[in-house]
Amino acid sequence: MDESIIRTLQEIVGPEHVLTDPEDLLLYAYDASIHAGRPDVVVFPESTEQVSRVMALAHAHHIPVIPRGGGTNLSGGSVAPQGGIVLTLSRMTKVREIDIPNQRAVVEAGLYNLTLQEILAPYGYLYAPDPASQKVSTLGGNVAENAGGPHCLKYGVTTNHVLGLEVVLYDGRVVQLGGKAFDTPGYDLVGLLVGSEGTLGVVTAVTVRLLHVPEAIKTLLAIFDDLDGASQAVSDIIAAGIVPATLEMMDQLMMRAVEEATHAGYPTDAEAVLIIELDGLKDDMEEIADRIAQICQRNRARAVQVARTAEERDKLWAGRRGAFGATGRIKPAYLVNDGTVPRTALPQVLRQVREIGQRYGLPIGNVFHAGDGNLHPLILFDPREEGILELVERAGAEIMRICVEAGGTITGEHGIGLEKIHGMPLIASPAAIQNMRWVKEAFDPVGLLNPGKVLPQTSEGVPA
Amino acid sequence: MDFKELLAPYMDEMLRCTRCGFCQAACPTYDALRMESAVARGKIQLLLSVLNGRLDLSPKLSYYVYRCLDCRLCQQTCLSGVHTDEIFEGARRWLAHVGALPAPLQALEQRVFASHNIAGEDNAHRTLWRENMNLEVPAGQPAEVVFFIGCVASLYPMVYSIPQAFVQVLQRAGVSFSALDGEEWCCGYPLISAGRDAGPLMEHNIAAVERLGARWLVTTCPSCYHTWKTIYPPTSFQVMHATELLAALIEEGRIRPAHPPTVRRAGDAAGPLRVTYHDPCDLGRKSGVYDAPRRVITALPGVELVEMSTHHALATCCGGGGNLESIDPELSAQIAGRRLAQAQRAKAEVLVTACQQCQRTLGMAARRQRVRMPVMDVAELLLSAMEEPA
Repeated sequence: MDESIIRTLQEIVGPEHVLTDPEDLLLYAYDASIHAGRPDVVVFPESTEQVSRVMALAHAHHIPVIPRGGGTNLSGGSVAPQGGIVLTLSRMTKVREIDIPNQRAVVEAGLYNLTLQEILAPYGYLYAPDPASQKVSTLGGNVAENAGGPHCLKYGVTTNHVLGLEVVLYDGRVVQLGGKAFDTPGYDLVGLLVGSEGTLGVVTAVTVRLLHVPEAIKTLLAIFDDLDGASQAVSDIIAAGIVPATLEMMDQLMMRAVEEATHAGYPTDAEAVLIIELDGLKDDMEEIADRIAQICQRNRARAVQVARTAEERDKLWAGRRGAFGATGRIKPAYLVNDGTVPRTALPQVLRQVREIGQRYGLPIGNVFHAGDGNLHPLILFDPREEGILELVERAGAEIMRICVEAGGTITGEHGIGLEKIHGMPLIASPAAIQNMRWVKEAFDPVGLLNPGKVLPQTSEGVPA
Repeated sequence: MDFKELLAPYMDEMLRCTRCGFCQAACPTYDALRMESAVARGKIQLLLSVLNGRLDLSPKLSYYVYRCLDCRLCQQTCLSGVHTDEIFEGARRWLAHVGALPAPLQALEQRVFASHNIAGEDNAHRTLWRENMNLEVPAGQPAEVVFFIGCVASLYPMVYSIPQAFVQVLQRAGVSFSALDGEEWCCGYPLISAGRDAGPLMEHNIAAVERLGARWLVTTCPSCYHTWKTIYPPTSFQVMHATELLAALIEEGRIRPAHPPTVRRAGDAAGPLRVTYHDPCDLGRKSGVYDAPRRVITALPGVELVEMSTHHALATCCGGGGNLESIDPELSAQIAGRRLAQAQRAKAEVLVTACQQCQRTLGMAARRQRVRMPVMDVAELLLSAMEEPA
């Protein structure tokens, strides 16, 4: 990259916040997915104004910009396959406003999700989306991916809790979209930006909706000796009209990794468990818990246990949240699918996933948001094995396809990124993709914002 | 020659990192810098790149590897169970071997070899800490217990109070002990943690202790303790930390705390004295000693032990761990400030630790931030709760 551009970047954010050495570029060439792409420069702005100046500079010189938060992306969304500027928002962590009477907060994009929760806890409030990575994933990243999390079964995903965004546009202009109100006149541009994976603008601040901490919480662990029973129980709970706060499933392979990592108390001899959490008013909680227990027992649950203390509950969740990372105890790498299927299709799709694993000779672990049918089959492998990556990608593509065939979709919360770009035509018609392209052009006429992500190339059967 | 074969044995362990990035939440250095170069995931990717031939050895690479507290919280919390301690020890051995030791560590190494202490002073000055005390401290004499004082507490006036308090407690308990004075050499930990061997220092120290016929070696320094306990070859005597000895003496009734600790309190302070305990990484996470210091603190009258938000195996480092203070003193100070803030949030009146290095970094943070919270050693707190001898 041109020396004068580097100098200007240094003037904008300070020399110590511009990295160009090969060591540093390598450190921003990866995320938590299997993809990689090395930037030409890494920049750490501290304010919206600095982001704006960086964007104007990038626009003037036609340099790609890849926004980045905690680098925990699971679909290659924060790597730089075409080089350019990695714009890391990790220094933008200010809490601009906590407005308890109106149940809103305005925070900068680099703040960790969990840090926001910790700030809100003393007020008796929370921010509902709780991705498993919440202790290291940023709110900006959560917005970009429209992140979910276990509690999204009851409360919805990020888009249901974000009301306003401060966005720096491709040329450096700063716009405020939405605000504290539930609905804003005109097009829902906040809704458009949430989940746009950094391809439409750089989100620098987020106005979120806050919820009261529920009066009571009850966490159940239902233990099954067969996977079919567990997945049927999920279908039956939902069909019975019960909406727990969470309804998570973990299979035996994942429980073994998680137990080794966290000693949370998961039964490693069982085929699967459901982590079912109820929250709300104390009054009817016992009755609902009983109904859930009965449904589980009808589906051959070996036992339904209740977390007796907050510590027991925390341990179960620490295990669940740490599950992806814990796979390193089995194999050094994983490809995680993120398909979402109708809950009635869960038993059948899980059987098919298992069959794919057997056919390819690849271990596949499952730990996922069963309640909203959001699967996370983790294909575990050792990248040093000759030809393994191709095999893994083929198995991954097959899993995407069966999800779509079952009436589902290819991603629930991890984004398309680079990883699922070839799957886009499976779920979006050529006309729909064309519409997305027009949106992209409106927000990013030159194509410099996180280029090469989300939208497939025209050669993939989609008209330009 | 790049001697990459020294790094190769750690390849499998490095590949177990799934790059989930959860170590960002554990690493105090990352918390302060918010840059990937600070965190275990990043360092591992750099080292893998060296092994894969995608990155060459450079001063920056070396700087990043050494800019580490070696506090091991990344390992403690790693979901994949990656042994970051082994990986980074291996990396430092490799870097030291190829001559890529950062300059401050080269200077430290030369001081230790030349003077046998980290300060580069005449080693005979190791007696300075006791010379202004009105107390006879036996040295070089046969004794059941040898007190290994450590370089920092011997030579840095800010923490002389630790050995001074400890020997007074020992004498009041009637424990027969001896110091080594100039015959005490650096335990070797600064060299080992920089990636060097410390064989000659170890051999000298073992012989010096054995000459006195000791059954026990006791240290107030957790780094000396950890080094003697886990890196030194087996010895004819047992190694214990000062807090373990103090807890045993209290439980045997040889020390009787008589009154609440004499500590300056705020004018409006009421009820028991709120004491928090900072677990030194070398004593807690690396050596498994968590309870002994807490047993001493809770044995004192009028004291309530309150824990900070992180403690025991998950305790945050004071900022003084590893080689960070040599490499980047400002960063080390920043991390100390964050740990001190944890003590403030716990509403502690006194911050107690069991390590001269933690006491220095946290004490300096308190001074810098104008926080009126005494930072003291377990032995000092205990001594302040004992009757003056007649």
